[in-house]
Amino acid sequence: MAKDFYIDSENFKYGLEALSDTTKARAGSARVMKNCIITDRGGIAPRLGTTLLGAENTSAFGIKGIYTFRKSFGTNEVMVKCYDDEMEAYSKNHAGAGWFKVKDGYTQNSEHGFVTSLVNVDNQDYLISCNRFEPYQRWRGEVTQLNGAVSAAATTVTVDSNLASDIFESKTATANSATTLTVAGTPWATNQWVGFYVHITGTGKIRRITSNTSSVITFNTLGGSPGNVAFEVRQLAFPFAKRSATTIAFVDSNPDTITDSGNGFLTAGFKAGDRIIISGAAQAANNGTFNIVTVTAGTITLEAEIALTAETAGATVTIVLASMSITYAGITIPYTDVDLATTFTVGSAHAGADNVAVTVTPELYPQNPRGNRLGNFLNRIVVGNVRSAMARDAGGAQQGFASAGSYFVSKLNNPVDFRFAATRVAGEGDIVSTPYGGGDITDIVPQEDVAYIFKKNYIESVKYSQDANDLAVREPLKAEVGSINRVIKGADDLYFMTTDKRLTSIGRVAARDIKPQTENIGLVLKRLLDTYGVDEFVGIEHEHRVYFSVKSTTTTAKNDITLVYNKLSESFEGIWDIGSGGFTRLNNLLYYGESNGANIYQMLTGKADVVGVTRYPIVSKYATHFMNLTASKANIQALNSLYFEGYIKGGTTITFKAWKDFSDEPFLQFNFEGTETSFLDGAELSASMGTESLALRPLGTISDPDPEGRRHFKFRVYFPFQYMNFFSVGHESSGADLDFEITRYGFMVKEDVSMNQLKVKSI
Amino acid sequence: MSLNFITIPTKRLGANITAASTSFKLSDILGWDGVALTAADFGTQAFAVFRNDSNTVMEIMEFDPATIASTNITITRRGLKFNSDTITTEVTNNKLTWIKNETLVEIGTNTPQMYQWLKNYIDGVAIAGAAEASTTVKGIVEQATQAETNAGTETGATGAKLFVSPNILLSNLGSFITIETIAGLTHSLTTTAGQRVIVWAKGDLHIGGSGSATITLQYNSVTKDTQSIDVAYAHRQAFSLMYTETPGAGTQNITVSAGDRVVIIVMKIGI
Repeated sequence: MAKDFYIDSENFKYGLEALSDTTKARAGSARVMKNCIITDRGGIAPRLGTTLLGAENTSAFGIKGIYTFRKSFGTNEVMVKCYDDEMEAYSKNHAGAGWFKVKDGYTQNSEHGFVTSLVNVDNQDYLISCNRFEPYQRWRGEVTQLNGAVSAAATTVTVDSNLASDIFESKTATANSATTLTVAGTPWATNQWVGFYVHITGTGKIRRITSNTSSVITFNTLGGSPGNVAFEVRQLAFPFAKRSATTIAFVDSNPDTITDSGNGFLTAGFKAGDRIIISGAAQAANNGTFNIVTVTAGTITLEAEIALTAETAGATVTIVLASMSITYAGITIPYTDVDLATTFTVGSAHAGADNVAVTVTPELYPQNPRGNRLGNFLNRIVVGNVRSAMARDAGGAQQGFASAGSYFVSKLNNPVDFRFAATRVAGEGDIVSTPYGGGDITDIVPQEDVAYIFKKNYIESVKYSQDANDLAVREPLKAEVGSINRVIKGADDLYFMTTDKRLTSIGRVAARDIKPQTENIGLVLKRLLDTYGVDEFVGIEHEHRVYFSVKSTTTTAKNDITLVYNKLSESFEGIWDIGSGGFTRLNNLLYYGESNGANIYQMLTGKADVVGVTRYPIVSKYATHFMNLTASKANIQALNSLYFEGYIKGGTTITFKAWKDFSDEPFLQFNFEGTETSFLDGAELSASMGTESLALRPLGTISDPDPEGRRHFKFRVYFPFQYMNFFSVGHESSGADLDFEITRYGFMVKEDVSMNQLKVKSI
Repeated sequence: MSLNFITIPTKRLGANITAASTSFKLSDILGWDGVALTAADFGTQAFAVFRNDSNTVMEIMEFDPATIASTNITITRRGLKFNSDTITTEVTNNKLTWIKNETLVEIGTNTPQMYQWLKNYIDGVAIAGAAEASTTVKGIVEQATQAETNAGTETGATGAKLFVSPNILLSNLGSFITIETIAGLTHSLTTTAGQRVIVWAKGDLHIGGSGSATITLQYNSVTKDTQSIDVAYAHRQAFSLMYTETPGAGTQNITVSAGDRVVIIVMKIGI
């Protein structure tokens, strides 16, 4: 008796399974899924390709940190990557500049952590990062490009623009002076534009606005009346604040202050939280780099730990922001003025070619905790895996501290200040020890209204009481369960790998769960995961898939494969030949950083892995589990026909294979080529019954191209009876720009009385 | 160049390479013992075999073992020939594109180039590295020429000890010993440097009565041997003289001072 058995799209959605005995796995689940993807209609297709971002980097060092910085304003996004001792960036809006250096000199091959601080006490957006070894840093992420080549020793660096892109006002003056512009009507609120810049569009001059009335803006002097010119109100993208005067004195008052009888600090642009460099003071101890706690027109108050030497006014003291440096062509140089919207005034420039990227230099905060697990929890930066930090001892005195099992919390809305008074008050920084589970903190991830603190064998949640006490409210969540490395933050769940190789989610697993629960979503791959090295587990959730990269063996040096979990079908789509040191998104597109190189690739890009003009092939393999044909009674079963259905584009070759009884060698193997010459609309493919013996060639039909340019095919191939107990079917492909999708496998099964005595056990 | 023979677990290619690439990355560089390989495991020259997972294509490369611990291992030659007639010949068509993870990399395999290298090594070391023969050490020797044999040269042009081949030895033996026989009291003897001579002279003496006499054998007027004889009346008394020496190159007379039926026999040894 012959009968047909089909595996179709719904069955393919079971995806890769590696737990049950192969003969007991669900029909349609796969034992091999290499570089495959389950399509949106449930078929099996090769994974999509990758494309190198920017120029190829031949460094031997792998990516040790990748992040995309998206600011509150504007449309730009800046991707940052770390490798070797370098931090480089790629700006979406300056793609022509390619990758450019932000900073170097970090401890080689150290892992960097990142978090964004948007809108804080500085009203500025920062990328906060640290690698455990060098100081905690913040970076504004501003990028422009050289406008014309810069010669060595030049004193002006000309760029496309040093202004932010937004234009807040665009007016023409009705009256003017060297420090004011007046407009018609009363369009403004008083001091609405303080801290912004006026941009004289004709001359390109920019000046900081120090005050405004309803119709007059006042700014730092232009040196002469500009006339009734057209002007804009803009923001300076690059940091600038400078005060140089003989009216500046230093007061040893604990906390120490710097005073200016000329009351020029605010008009110069200084703000609380700024890191400043002082030079020119008569007392050597007063020259250095300090953090501003508060600032008024006449007084800058420094951190309590700073010990200035009392000094009366008289010397020409210069105070500038520590961040007033730009980096281009790989070299950093300080700037002293921004006279025009397109220039930086420098002491002596280094050479740079036209269109080279120019970026602001990160600011360093040596006293802040040096950890590389960073989270932003309700405008507080939480730092874990801290190698060293400053902390208060039992007596309240500041001292050095080292505890990778504690997490450090910044002041509310201030990402660079982790201090707290001897008697901590609300809003200050904090240090929380987690003497549970042992080991370092492996990640910190905010989710819902808490931040989760992960160690290898411990998870707790923390949030701050929204009251006058502002205390950390901690809840141990899981004991003896934790994350071996970084955690993937998904839309609804967190995903992490445990030390015993359980790919686990944490979330509200069931609607009745009051408390988040963990679930081993990787259970179906347990036997596979057990063979992997997971100590450098990294991943990302993108659209409805979770991608995570691990090592294919426990001895593999670096992550070399990526597994794909489909949240919709709750199954694994396969194992991709992508070794990632980290994932990120730029412009909502998915990227990964090489684990064994310094390159970043866009994922899901096409049908080949593209590096420059080279299109590397993608090798795709799929095989179902062995299905058990063992019949009841004394029957034996056989296959004599297979049926295939799917979509294919011209120039694509698929190799179909069928296996029996656990053999690695297929008993049937043939190619199906979607060459254009084989496309005979509505007709047989290349042979017909009557002209060719059965089994010599596949028979089938193929359709007109669909909107995606593919043609639907279906064909059946016959072959001599293959008696077996267990059979498996699959396909392989190898090449660039191959395009196909398998949507159905069919089997013609014949059941017959067993005549094979070897398969009957006598008792 | 040195090359060590080591077995290493199969590796996977860590990053795609094109036919023009000059370096490659591996999934790991661990040996069977789980310890990272070092340049010393390979020597100064090493070969790798790249093949796809289905064993349908392969490429042999030479790589620089000094870079084994680097993420990028430097390739020194691509597309080496599939036979072993040379180690260094690159074949353009043998240079292929290789796909990460899909590609198996054998860096401890027995490539034809390794065998050729071994042959070249043995060929080279058999002469260059072998000891020279001496009276106490077995080793290499050099065949002596006729002239060297004739001259008694000890060491050949290669610096090795000389040995005499049978044919040269045989050809020399005939002229190595020469014998000159002369009847009479005088023989003009010509010798070459180094030749040794054995000189005999025999005869008898009749005085004409009884008495005694002394017979001398001289070379170049230098007495080499004497014999005193007493002769009874009317009798003859036989005498025999002899000497050996290495006279050096020259031509001088050998003389017997008196006698009848004197025969001088000279055996010259040497050429």
